[in-house]
Amino acid sequence: MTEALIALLGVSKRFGGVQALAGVSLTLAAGEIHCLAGENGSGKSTLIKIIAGVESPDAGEITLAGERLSRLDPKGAIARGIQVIYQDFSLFPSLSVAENLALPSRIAGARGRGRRFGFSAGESYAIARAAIARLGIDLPLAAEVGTLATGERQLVAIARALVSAPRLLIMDEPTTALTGREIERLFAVVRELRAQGLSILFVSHKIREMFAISERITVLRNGLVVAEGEVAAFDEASLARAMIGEDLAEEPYRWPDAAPSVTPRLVLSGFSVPGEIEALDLAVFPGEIVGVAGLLGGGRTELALALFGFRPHYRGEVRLDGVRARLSSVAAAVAAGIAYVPEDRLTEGLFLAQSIDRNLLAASLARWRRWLLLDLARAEESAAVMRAEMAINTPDGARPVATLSGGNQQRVMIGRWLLRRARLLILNGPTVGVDIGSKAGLHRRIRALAEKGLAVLMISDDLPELVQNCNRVVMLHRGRLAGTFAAPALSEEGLAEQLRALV
Amino acid sequence: MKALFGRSESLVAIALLVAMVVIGAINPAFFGLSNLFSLARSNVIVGIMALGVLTVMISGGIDVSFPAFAVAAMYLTLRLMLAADWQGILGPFALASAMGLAFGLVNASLVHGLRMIPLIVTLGTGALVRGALLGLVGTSQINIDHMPPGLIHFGSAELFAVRDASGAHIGLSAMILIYLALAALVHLVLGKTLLGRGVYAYGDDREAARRLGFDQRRIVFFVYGLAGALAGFAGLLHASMIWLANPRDFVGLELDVIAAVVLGGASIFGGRGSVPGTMLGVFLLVMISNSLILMHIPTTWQRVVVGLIVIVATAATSFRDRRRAQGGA
Amino acid sequence: MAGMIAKARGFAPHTRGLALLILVIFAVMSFLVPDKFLRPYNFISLSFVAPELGLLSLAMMVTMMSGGIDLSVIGAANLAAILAGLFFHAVGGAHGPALSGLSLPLVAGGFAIALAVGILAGVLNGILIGWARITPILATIGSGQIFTGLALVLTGGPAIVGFPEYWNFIGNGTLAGLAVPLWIFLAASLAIAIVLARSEFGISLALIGTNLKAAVYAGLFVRRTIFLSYVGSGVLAAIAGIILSGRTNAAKSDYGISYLLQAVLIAVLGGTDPAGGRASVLGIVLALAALMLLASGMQLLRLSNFLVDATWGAFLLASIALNLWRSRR
Repeated sequence: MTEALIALLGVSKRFGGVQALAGVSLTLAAGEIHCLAGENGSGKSTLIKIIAGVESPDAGEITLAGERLSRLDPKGAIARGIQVIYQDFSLFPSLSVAENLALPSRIAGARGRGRRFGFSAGESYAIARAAIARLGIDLPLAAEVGTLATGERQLVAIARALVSAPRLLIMDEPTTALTGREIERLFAVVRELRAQGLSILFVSHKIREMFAISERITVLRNGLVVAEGEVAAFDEASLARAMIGEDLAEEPYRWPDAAPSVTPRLVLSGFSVPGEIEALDLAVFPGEIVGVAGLLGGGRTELALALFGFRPHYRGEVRLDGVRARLSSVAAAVAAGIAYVPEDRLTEGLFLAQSIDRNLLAASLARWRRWLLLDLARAEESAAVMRAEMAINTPDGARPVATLSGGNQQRVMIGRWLLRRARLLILNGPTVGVDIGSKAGLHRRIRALAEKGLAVLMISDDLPELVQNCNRVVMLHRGRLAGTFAAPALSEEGLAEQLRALV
Repeated sequence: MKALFGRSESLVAIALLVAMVVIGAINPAFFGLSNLFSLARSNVIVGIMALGVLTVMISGGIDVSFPAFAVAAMYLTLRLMLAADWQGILGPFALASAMGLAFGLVNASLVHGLRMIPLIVTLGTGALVRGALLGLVGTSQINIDHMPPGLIHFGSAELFAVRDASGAHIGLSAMILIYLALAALVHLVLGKTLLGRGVYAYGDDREAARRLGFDQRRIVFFVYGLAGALAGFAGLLHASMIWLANPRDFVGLELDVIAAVVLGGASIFGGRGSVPGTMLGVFLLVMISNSLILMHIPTTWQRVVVGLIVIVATAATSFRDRRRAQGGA
Repeated sequence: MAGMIAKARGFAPHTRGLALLILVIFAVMSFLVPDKFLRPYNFISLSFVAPELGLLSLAMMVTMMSGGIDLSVIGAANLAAILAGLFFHAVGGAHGPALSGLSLPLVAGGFAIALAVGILAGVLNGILIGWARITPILATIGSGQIFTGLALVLTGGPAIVGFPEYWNFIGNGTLAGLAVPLWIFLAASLAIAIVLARSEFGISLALIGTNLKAAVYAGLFVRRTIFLSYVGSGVLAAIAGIILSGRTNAAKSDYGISYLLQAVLIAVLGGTDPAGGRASVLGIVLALAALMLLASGMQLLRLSNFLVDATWGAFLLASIALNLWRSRR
């Protein structure tokens, strides 16, 4: 092995009650493509932020090109040649493409004397042109970044990272929003950059991608390094086992076909949202867990939002238990029995500073109304029953929901909708940020709810999760149905094959 | 050219032209030289202060303390000049600006160091400074007989003057040159320096700015410091233009200035706003409130008009930002 | 983490801190001006003066619960009192026994007018903030200008002097040995405390202020709740205006301008998080008591009112710094 560019030794980080990283060590050689693998919530993002200097570790040390550091700050990391392309790209929408490309490097590099103060348009264009030339692409340099499409924004983010001639490029889940062809282009760029001598830390949870691009793999699980080695030392099964921590031994979810007389819980016919979903037909029966797969932006989340009343101007027909529904607002969707648990639990789901019970009762307050006020005693009783039913691990309901672990928080989110007597539960990334230990328990809970007659739509990136828990998976692409996989024929390989074929 | 038309500056400019035509149609005296010159003069103080508030707003903050800073810098400088029999021009202006700067840096350290909400911080510092000035320094005006003659002379300088039909003197105040120079300076700093572009980036997305290693402290200190310094400068300039220093002056001026900046297309959420837009906003606001008499509307309506302008302008910007957010996603 | 638990479980440490502050102020003032401060007259007069500020602070708190703010309360309060006053002058003459002896139904009519003004003011703010989605700061700055401006237009500037006796009873009377304003304030405090803790509206408001996005995703009636909070704030402001005009027998467009800062201060000092989600009515009552005692002590010490204002500003900054320090620990 050549000389290490960066070496992490025993790095630990704790957030509140969660040990995000526990003594992680990682070594990256110059000019290698290294894959950091792990499920969502395994500690990958925290590790990236520590290398980028955005978070400082509680313990451990970082050796960068022979220099020992106990911590970094963002400027220091950038100055030492570390660049991160975040999943959200971290671009400035009000500035032009040229400025987005040139500004950060000038700020980070503005150390020497001379023209550190001025910043001319011509200069930013020169820097920007050099950067995109290196990528061999074309971008509208004068356009405001806020007006670009997602794919273009990602290219801007990559180009920006290259401006300061980094030694290490970290890419956080770069393929999430890309089509098969765009992924190939991205991989070509990554190989080209490696040929130019860069080290690349490629962060992913998609097994096929790792084999396609990387030379060495480090697998994180629950904040620990559980496997590490040359890519040849792994096969798909062993890598999956390392990431998930157990073989997928559990029986997949099976659902006896509904009797012909049963009314479907949800029927969509010709369901369209301009620009997002086109003429979708779908039926979901009580007791079904229907998975929704596809690329980010392909219609998965868009469908969930439309069903939850966020797209009042949809076209087509929606029936719940045979009754036609007008999903003109969130209130209307909730009244029709639809519940939605968003993927971003922390910003869209939970009221972090409020108590567990208030979080549970948030959607069902009207149920406890007696005259003008609420019957709080009865409400808290029901919340306590729900805490027990969802097996939420807490001594009492008055603690802030922020003190719970990710898995328990997700149970609060689902419990909230059960208290509202939801009939169709839409879960978006139900186990994102949930540690492996509680993941299986959460899945069992969801399956038990379905067995009792709830209809579930499960949107997920996590193919094993879908295969394991759904009796049927539909794939959406560009707002259309791109495939349906029903239980016996449902397999991870089949789904992955179909996903790769999307253009 | 198409881009030019879609810019919010163009919209303000069109509104300005329409308003001019309407006011001129109601009362042709609007286009009289004496009215136009006095309008230009009325832009100076509000405009200079607006440049500072604009910068704060681009960074995503807000400042309601600057009128207190302006009055404190003005009054303290003049009292010092009188006490020490000091007859400078540059010196006093430098001192007033420095005092404003110091006050502004206090805002900055509270906003940055303690991560306090800017509105609450500046409400507090504004009340503190104004209360301390009136309670500790005094409440008496400095009249024209006591004002330093050098300052009065400076403040009355004119670019050129003409005589109208009745022989009355109509002059164009030279102070607008100072306003224009400061505006050009702020425009350059915001548009052509790392710091200025950093202010936009910071206002756009604070977390991204942090990840990319921007010096957030420098940006916060710069914006609030600039707002304070410009306010201090404008305060003394105001006194030398009206030949009077009243320590109770500028009460409620923050509303006019914020109205003008918002009218000029800046967003309170940060990232948006420009010097030309703000100058147009200031001009529109000053013109409308100064022209009420010309339009035969009692001046008591002025506050109602300013309030309506704030609401219409913010509604328009919030509509614009929402559409942009939808279009960009 | 311990701090967060305390936050969710109640405000025990905070109320203890405020109680201690009251004791300290009481002890210091009793020591500095024992004869005047400890006279019953001092406390009786406070019980008449404090409630109007207390009501405005409650209004501020209710809007801060959702992460907003209402900077138009003073304008709404004055406009409500002025419209009622104009009504009385129209039916009872500008002065004399006909005005002061106005019948109960007519005074009730004036009361209804004032409350209607408060409701309309709140409706305007609620529409601007809830539906047009204008930032609360700018929306209420603008609407406050409109209210104050209309008050100015209606009166032409000078105060409206002379209110009916029944009306003045609301500001000056005593009932069962306590000041009528104090009764009103205590009743309002109790009602708001109950509504915040035990009603769908109150709990929704706290949830919205904690996380607006999550509130939308939980299917809460976000717009309606925010709208109602501003209507509530308008009503509280109108009642404050009624008490103020009843107590002073006059109404004017620029009365009580310094109340704005003080109301923000009391709300924040009382434990309201200006970012939303957290508030305590008990905290408001205690903070009001502490600061009124401080202000009266300073006045008895013959310190200027301006210094009292400056102290309010300093307290505002100190109290946020303290809140922040506490929540970070």
